[in-house]
Amino acid sequence: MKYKRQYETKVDRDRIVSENSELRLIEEQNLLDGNFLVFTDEPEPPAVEPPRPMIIMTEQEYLALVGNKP
Amino acid sequence: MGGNLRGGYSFLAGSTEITRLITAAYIAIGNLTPTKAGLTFTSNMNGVIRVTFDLWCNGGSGQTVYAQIYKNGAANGTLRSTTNNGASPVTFTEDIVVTPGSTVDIRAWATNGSYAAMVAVGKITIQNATFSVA
Repeated sequence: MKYKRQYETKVDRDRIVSENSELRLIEEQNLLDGNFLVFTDEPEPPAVEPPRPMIIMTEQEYLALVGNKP
Repeated sequence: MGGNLRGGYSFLAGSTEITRLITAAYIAIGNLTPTKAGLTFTSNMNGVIRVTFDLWCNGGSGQTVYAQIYKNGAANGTLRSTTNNGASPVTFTEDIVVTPGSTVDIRAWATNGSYAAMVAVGKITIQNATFSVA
């Protein structure tokens, strides 16, 4: 669930962030209509490790690379 | 009733996307100064546009990365920062005043040479076309 809070000054903003420390800040809006912070109570998704570089080669290419040693 | 309506068209900030500046931008590792991410928007009208983008740090959490909207080559929007990684990017939205010829782009940078600021889904949104009567 998302929670939207409006703020006027930086002091307000910092206070709202502090008061909602158990939530996760996902969006900040500075609009003509006002300034808003959007929080969510959903947990942070697990971080995805970037794929490791992978070298694809045939067995023959590998053996040639290592000097045809078993 | 005779006569002509006089006036001009203007942008008014809203939620209708008119252009995408960034799909997914990777700010090269080691960029520690503001670096343009994606395309530049050039306005042909007066008014207010709404600029939105996601920001996160690539390479791990805990490292601060920055982004800011630039207008006519100078920093204009609020300086944005986050230490979040790609699992939880932060979305920033800001209304920017433009005039004919104004250029708007998004710039980002990291604070640690081993990490990169990632900016994605950079877009400009407005309300449907409006006109004013002068």
